Amino acid sequence: MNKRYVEIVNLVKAYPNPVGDPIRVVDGFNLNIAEGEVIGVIGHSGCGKSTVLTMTAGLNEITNGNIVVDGKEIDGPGPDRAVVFQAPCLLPWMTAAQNVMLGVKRVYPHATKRQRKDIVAYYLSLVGLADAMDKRPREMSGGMQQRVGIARAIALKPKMLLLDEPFGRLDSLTRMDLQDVILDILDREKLTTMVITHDVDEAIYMSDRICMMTNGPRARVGQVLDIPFERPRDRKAVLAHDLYYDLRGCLIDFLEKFEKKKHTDQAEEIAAPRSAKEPPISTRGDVSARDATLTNPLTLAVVSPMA
Amino acid sequence: MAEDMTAVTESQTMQMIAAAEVWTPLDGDSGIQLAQAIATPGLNAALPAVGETLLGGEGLAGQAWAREIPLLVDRIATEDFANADALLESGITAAAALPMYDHGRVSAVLLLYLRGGVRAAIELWAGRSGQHELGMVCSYYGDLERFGNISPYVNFPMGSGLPGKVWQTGRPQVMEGLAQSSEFLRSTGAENEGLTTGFGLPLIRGLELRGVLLTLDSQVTSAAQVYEVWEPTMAGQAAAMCRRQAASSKESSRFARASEALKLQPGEGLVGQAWASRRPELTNELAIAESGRASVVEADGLSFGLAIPVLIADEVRAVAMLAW
Amino acid sequence: MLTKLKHLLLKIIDLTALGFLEPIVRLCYGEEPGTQVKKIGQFMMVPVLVFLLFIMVWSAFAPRHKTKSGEVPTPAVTFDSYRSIMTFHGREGDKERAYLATGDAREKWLAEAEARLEELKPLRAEAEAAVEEAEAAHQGALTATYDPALAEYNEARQAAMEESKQRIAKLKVRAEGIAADDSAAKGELLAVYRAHTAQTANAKSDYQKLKQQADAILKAKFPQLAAARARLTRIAEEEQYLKQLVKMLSGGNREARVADGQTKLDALRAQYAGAEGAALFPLAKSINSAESRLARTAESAYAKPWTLPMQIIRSVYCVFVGFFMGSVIAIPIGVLCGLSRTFMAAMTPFIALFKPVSPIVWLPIFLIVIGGFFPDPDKHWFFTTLWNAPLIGWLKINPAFLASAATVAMCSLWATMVNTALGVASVDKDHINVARVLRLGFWPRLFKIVLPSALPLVFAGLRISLGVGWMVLIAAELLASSEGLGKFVWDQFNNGASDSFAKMVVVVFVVGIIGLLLDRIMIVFQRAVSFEGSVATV
Repeated sequence: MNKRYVEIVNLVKAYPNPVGDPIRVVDGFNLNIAEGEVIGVIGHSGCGKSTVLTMTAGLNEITNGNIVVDGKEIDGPGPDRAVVFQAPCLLPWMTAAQNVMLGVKRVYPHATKRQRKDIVAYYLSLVGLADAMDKRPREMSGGMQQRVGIARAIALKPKMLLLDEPFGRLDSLTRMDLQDVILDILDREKLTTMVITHDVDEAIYMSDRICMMTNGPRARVGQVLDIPFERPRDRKAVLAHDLYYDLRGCLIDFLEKFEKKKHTDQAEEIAAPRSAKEPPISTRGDVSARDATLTNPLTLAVVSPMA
Repeated sequence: MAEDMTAVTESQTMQMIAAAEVWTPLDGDSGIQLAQAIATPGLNAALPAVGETLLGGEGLAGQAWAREIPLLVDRIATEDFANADALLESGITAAAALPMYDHGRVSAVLLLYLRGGVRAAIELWAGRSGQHELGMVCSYYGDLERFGNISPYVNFPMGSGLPGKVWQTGRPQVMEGLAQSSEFLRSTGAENEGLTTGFGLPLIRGLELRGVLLTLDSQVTSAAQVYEVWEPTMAGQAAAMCRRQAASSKESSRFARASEALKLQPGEGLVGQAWASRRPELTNELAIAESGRASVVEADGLSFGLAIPVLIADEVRAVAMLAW
Repeated sequence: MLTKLKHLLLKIIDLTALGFLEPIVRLCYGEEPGTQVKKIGQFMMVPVLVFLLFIMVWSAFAPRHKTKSGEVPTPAVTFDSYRSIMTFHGREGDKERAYLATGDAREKWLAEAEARLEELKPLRAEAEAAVEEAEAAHQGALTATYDPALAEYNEARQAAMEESKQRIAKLKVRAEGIAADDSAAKGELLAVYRAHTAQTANAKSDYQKLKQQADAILKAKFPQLAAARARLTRIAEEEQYLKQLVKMLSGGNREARVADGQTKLDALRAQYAGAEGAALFPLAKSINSAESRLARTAESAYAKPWTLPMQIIRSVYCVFVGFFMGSVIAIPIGVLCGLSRTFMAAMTPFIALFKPVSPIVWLPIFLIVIGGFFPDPDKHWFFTTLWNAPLIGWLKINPAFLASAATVAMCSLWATMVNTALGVASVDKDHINVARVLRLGFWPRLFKIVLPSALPLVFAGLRISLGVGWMVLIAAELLASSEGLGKFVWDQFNNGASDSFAKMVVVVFVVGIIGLLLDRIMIVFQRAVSFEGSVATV
């Protein structure tokens, strides 16, 4: 399994500042996502989670760094990275089926009309909307609209699925339903996924790993937490697991820590001025310790000589 | 360097590090030989004697040398130690074997014997395959159960947390006041378990980080009484070692203060010796080894010392010193 | 079943934006009677009552204002003149059909008309008698009221003049007795003279008032006479109409004329057959002209004058022509403006400059420009084709019509253009993101996302444009003398007949009602394309 299916390397997003230096919203974000893995991203509001996601989707311009998906560097948006936004943004003048058909037409240009209709019906039934195919968005509840949004995204047969707080606007019951819908789909289609969420429990339930982002500006990855529960996830089993409370506590601690850290972030930065004297780094192949599934020698940061 | 024992003080029995050994490779690369050893009194019977060899990758230290990776076991077993039972009876539960790299080869293996039932922790972190993060390889938590529960699942990218900081700077790091520290990302856990001081040691080969060894002390138990990080600077035309960071328990505060502005030449003190030999140096007579600071050493009752050099691109960039 | 009907009705009401009908339907189904009644009261009863109040105020105040064209017409008078307009229209229609009637139907109709004429004769006599009677009564009343008033006036005038003469005489006498150096007396004389002038003026105004009163009595309406005269007029009008109808059904009828012409032609042909030599040429000429005359007659149509309903149709037709012309220009330009900032910047000076220009300025310009295309409109192939076209031939489209339509287009296209530009430019960013993720090309994005998203605003613009266009049209027709509601108003104004004013007021309501209907139609369209399901209806 390709552990570097998606590589986000030193991602930087800077916005021009009329009164000074450009403001770096995201500074040096590094993350590798394995094929078929679900990565949850949590962090405080405004820390730049959505910025990272939209840059991965190609909808936001990358200031520095690169994002490589399946060996190819990304170049703008495309159906290989399907996005589900917080607001479903269905086209309101089209029915649910037509909305999904828009993507299907794009991705299956050589299929016949009959085949495309079947594909649309298949995906809509996957999200449980088999009998609402001809409804318009204004006739559907928020949860139903979001389901259509999800169907539209996966119908693109994307390499990567990006979910930007997909259930933020929904009530908890609908949220739980849709979490299961997505997990079901992911188990079936084995899509590499990035999910941004505010809900710690949702992150634990849905993710294989959770990336905790530090606060903005100059946000990057703070910690990454492994979620050792097996798939397919059983909500009751997960909630009852011994480790659940500790995992949750770890996430909440991180968030609380950055609640206080919000304004002192600049001062706490580890100053490591770059120097040209020491040569850059290399990586090596796999080296595993005895009873762990990892290791891999890591590249050191460029270290400054002492003055 | 001395093989005899010296008087044992009360505090020393609450150290997590019970004994330490330095093994060096034999000529011909057939195995390793014990070059130096220190131990709290009463353990000598269970430990190997200086000059003994481990051939063909035998034992924990032999494996570390043969596989060229750091290893940590949280339960001593016969496959790693011939006298596993004797060690366990003496109260030693865990062990860490840390290879030192010089010019692409293992130049020494530092073996640490760790006491059981202590309120302190030792963790070994290394890079995860395919990921750009440090993940936990193995750990020993003594009595700190809850802290141990979650830590195996946490991974750190460069710069984040204590392991990340060690990775980013490539230097040993000492962190005090863990429970309030904004950099120690597991501070709540630290607060709950009463952890106070953390020490991180990078294990570097050339330009690769092979691992990070982390020790976490509480008020009750610590890995060492004193931690120091020395780095070379240009003082005039000659290089000298300057102390960059330090942490010490209350009992050893005099030692800490005295060493603040100290500059060490190559060969001077335990740190200078490690700098010159490019290998870990041990002593159980710290006052003699640290002639320049002998008075404060004795005043604070420190007798054991361990100096570990950190080489990046085959140059000594720092020396970490532990004393208890 | 019934519930389905209810839902259907409610859906229709929703679609056509006739929201005030909703409580009625709900009440019929017994839903929340209290609320429904209240709603009916609010949205139907109150407006109706206010409108009735308006009618009453109008009726009360109208007769008080007297103008050159008579009194301001009351609602009743307005309604009467509306009826007379419609009667006129009906009669002209009848005459046209009579002209074209053939065969048995014609005979039958002719008989009926003549019979009715007979019926009218005694009625007319009666009416005339009634008028005479009323006139006599009027005279009698006048003698009672007018004569004394007049007499009073004359007396007063005489008296005033006498007094004036006497005063002057006295003054002259006084003047003679004044010496050259008696300045005091001279001054007194002047003062007294001034007083005299003032008195004369006062007296004059007094007896003028009396004259006005007398005149008012004379002019005052004598209801009996007015009613009798009105009845007589109606009968006379009908008589006249029937006479014309009879003419159309007999000698003036097309069939008859054709037959007549045919007979003449046959006679000529017979003559021709029997003639020879020099007589042949003039005969041939006659036959030829007879033939062409006959052909023309066979094809001829009744020269129907323009009645109000016909003018209404022509106006509506004109406004739609102008509206479509304007939309065809405005929408594409609007789309381009919305898509490209540069284009918008390029267009802004034109929009800003030409938007405020009044239709009254555009019309003469268009008349000149369009006139330039058609130096001889009656002979131009464009108009002759149109006049011979099947359904629209009778509209007689002429350059004035085109100029009015062009003016409508010019003034109404701005709303559509600006709204279209706005709609295209303000497509929801999320929808654009959908297009980006799917990597849609330029054209699919335009037609699948940008245009459908902009459609509600485009239709909002169209609705405003149509409203503006309708207002502009009436003014344009009036100035261009293009047959239509505008020209009708102008004709009535210049006519100065007794019911002209009333007819103009009728046109006010006609224009308003048609404008309302046009707006309503556009609302339905707007509703149809809006996807939020609601549309501001004002």
